[in-house]
Amino acid sequence: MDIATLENDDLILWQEFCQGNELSFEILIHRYYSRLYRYGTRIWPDDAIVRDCLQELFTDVWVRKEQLLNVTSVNYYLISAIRKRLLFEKRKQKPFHYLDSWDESEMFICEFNVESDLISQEEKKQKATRLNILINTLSSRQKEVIYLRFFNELDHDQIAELMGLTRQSVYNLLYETIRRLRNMWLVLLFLSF
Amino acid sequence: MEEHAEFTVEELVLNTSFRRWVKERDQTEEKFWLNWIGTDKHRKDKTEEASRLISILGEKDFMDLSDAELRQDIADVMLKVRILKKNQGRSDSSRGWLAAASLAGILMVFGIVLFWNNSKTITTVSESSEREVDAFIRFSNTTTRPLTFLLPDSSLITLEPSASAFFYNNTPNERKIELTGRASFDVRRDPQRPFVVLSNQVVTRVLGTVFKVNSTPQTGSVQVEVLSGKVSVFRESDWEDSKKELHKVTSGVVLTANQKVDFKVIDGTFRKTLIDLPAKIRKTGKDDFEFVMTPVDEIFFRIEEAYGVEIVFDRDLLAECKLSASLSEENMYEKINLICQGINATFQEVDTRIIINAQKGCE
Repeated sequence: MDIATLENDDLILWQEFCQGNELSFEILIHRYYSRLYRYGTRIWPDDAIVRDCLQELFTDVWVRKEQLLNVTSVNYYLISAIRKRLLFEKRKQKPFHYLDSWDESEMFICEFNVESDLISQEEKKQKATRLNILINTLSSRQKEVIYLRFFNELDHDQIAELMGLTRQSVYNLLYETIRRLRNMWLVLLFLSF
Repeated sequence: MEEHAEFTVEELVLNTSFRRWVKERDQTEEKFWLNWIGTDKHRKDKTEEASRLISILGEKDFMDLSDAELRQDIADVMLKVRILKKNQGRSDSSRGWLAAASLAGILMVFGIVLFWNNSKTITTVSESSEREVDAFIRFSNTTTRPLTFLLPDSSLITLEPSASAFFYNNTPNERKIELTGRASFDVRRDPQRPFVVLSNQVVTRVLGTVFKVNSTPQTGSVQVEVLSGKVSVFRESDWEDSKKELHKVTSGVVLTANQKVDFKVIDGTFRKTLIDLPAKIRKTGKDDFEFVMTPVDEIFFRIEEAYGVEIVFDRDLLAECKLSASLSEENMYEKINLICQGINATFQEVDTRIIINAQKGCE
């Protein structure tokens, strides 16, 4: 789904929904459910919990719709809502997961996929692996920043607000990662010839 | 003015307008960027490199919902919304009803009625429970089609015709339902308060999942079917014992998705099997069941993954067996049947596992 061009359209639907339009609400859920699920499972890879949280999120949003008229970005509002909810649940349920090795809010799963047709099939896998090694040297926080920018199209201000970072550090981080990716890519190109 | 500004490759990758041009072929953006490049060879090179970087950055699948799951989830939300909507403006009267109910100790419900419009309604219930009043809500379906009710904890219960249920309000450590007849549940996860269904000497305990219970007194049996998640099923007597003595080991049956158990009241035995038509428990790609000379152990593995069932077969005997088949449309049993035909084997279900019986291997 093309996020940027839908943004305006989404806001119109959102306003209709805030006034109680069920159909607009359903269209919005259709547009965002899978994307929020994918983001959610990267924070907490548990299908049942993420789906429960999404159910609660959308029912809550419906209940509080009159107060949500001033939302300016539907994409940002929903991403930030599911993030808060999952981190809250994670803290609440921590005692039940004492056996798990991962640390609270210290996990974000993100791998890039080399999808360019420029690369031949047999090289594809190897390059994807190498790029993923690069990505995996980043911290969870950094991975989440990259993910939000590239796959959810949040802007720098929104990411900064969501993650509690300054706009400058978000930009620096993104810039640095692209720079490393670029170098990595040049090395890969060089190796393959 | 801006078209004279210089961009590094990294800046281009991060530029929203540039990304929109590369990824979505946006016409307006294209005009701007073509204009920016102009005849500048250097800018053209940078644009190409940035485009390539953007195109290699794709989201790799990690977990995803199948279309069926997505539809189900959205239908669930919309159902809850419709129930909420229906009861908007009825909050005052329903609160009055609840007050009356806690006095009388019973509430008769026909049709869809919402019991909580805001937290105050819930408080009404818990206040009465502190006074040790055996407060419960009764649901029943006297119509001829299934009816769905929203429980106070926002779980859903769907009662088949002539089924009825009591929901106990005064149990802080569990959510307790007594069921007669056939019903399915979509339980909201709350590990602090497990969801417990009592039905004709059988107790089903769950944290949050989708499952069905069929307890029809006349048949002398209780069936529990799990569609997603995990539930445990006990004899009522064992359950009561385990609650009295902490840490006591309780004998019961654990069911995961696509499994069911049949409890015979007369001898108190459980029989665990697969449900009649197992559904995929995780999303599969469209080519996951397209096989071209694929080793059968790989094929069985795909089925195990997709349906969460265990397939038992002789790995050594079938080591050389390879199959080409297109099995995307078939249900689980049809898939297994076709594979068995291909390798001259038969199968049977034993204890929720699929056993493949092959006489000989392949050349």
